[in-house]
Amino acid sequence: MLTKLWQALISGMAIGSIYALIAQGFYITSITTNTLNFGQGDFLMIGALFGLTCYLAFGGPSMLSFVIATVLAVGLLAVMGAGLERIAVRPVRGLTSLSWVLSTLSVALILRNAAQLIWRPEQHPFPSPLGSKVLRIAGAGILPQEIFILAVSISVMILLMVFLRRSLLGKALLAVAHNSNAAAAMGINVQRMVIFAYVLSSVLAGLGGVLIAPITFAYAYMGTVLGVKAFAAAIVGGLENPLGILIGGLIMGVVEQIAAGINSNLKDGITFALIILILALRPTGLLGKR
Amino acid sequence: MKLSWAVFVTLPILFVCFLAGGGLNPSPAWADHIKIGFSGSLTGGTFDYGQAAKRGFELAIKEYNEKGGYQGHPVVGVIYDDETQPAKGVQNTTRLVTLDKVIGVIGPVNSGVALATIDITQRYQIPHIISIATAVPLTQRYKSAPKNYIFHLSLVDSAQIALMIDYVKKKGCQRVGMMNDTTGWGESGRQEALKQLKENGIELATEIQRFAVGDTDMTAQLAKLKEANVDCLISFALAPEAVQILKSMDKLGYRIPLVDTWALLAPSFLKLGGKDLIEGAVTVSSYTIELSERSRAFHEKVVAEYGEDFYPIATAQTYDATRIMLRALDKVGPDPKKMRDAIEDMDDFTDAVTAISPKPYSKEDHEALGPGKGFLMTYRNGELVRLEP
Repeated sequence: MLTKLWQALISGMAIGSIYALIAQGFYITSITTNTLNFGQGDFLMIGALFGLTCYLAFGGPSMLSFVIATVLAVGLLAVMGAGLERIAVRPVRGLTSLSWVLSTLSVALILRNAAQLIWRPEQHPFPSPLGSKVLRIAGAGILPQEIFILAVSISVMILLMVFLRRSLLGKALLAVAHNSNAAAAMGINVQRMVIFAYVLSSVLAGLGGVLIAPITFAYAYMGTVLGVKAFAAAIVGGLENPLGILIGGLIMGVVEQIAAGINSNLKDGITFALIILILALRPTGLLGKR
Repeated sequence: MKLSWAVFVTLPILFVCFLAGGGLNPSPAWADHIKIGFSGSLTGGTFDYGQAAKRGFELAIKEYNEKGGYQGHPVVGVIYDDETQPAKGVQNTTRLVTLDKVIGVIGPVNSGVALATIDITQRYQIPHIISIATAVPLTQRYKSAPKNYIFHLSLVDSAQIALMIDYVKKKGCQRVGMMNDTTGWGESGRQEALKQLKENGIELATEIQRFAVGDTDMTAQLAKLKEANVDCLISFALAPEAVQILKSMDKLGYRIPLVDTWALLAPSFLKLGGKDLIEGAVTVSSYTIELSERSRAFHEKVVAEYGEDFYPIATAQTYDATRIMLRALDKVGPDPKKMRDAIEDMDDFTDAVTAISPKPYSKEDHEALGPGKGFLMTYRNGELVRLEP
């Protein structure tokens, strides 16, 4: 019983860190522009598939080609982030309050279709640079790639917090989030900051894509469910706090695994019942501002 | 502001276009020809079966036309993608029978989609041969209708499950466990398996474990099986999730024999899992390229035409299904109702590449591949080999 719970905890944290990594992308645009990229999961998918193409082009499973693939995928996603802001967010922002939901979703659907054409509809194996030998932590099995994702997830969270609190650019971003008119009056180029927020958010999607594809395989529909679960994780943790998002993701993952262990029919039922409970008690999420 | 409005207006339109998908294709120019339709999943969950099936369909029609077609007229194959979505399959099939005026339909691939489309072909009295989907009700739904227009050329689930249970018995498993995905296919497979297990006097060691398509970690479900000392696992998982089951078994250090349906014949199983992981996994088939002289020759033909033969059983079954349809056309002319009777009465289909008999169907039995036609296969060092009884 105890080993079962321990395995659920380890596996849950592995999955939860995936949710958290994707969810951090929601955070950045949410605080600066009050909009989200609802296609975050599909941006991640492009990162994974494009990353895989580069990975294989540079010789496949090795840390070097993985790093090259990551850099290239992140670069592509940065451009896509800027493009998304320009064509799908800026024109409709402030028009009616929810147009950006539809426009970012539209872009996501277009990307999904395009990915099916470019990479075919099949699932592609993405061999992990760290191999596929199961590691044991006090008896519970975990893949090296999963530990890697967890580590990156935590690092991204710390870097984001440091960046926003300490660097000039980060402070400017927060200033825009706080009051964009005042920020503009202080000489901050608000428009540029908004673009930057979308670039940063998309960069995280690209990074997430190449990191998680060894676990989920890479395919056109890989981001659909992940995007929704990541969104749930962000809301549970509190959309205004990177630490909250990390915790929200981990909780989601662990609860899912424990629920599946109690009764596999109720896995999603139990998980989402818990989400409703948390939101009823803390409407802004676990670490959200009251 | 001008640009904003343009985007605001065009994006929803684009969105609708995407939803509509292929429905906007212009009417084809070959409207006067004799047409046979194919609707199957060229994209979506079961796309690999669909892509392979499409080849069998194309190849059969191409050969038919090379031999002169129907009294000198070439037959045209109309191909639609159902994206593995029942609604799209219904739309395609309706289009095939009402607009394209096809005289026969081949496909769907996915059981859920197939079950949604057979009502249309039955209502419009168009012969329909399903060459991939395996659900039991496909041929049963209209069994008691005066004329059943639905024929099947694929090893039906009940026959596959009988073989899977056979394996579990022969293997001497004492404590059997079961897992299934939450799709219509997985759920109907589970029900049929429960029924047959009961008939065989086998009780499951613990409750059935479920998972969703796309799940990447099955350790929680497997830990329950482990706790119950399950020593054999019957699963209804498509290839990607079957790979995840095996990976999760490794995580738990709990590798037990796994027997699944023909889903594990899919080439993606080896590709995604790698040969070490899938070693020993057991699956069901009714066809290999070594089945007969004709199947070997057919394999050569597919390779010559397409460069490779990535999913032989799906291509072969659809090839035979399409040829049965064309044979019926030859016998009675382009009249769907007469063709249906001709398919049911056909007793000279002697050059099949699959294991079907020269008389594939009868009034009572619209299954071309019955229980006796299937066998078990397993993976040894990345190769599919027959599991000798």
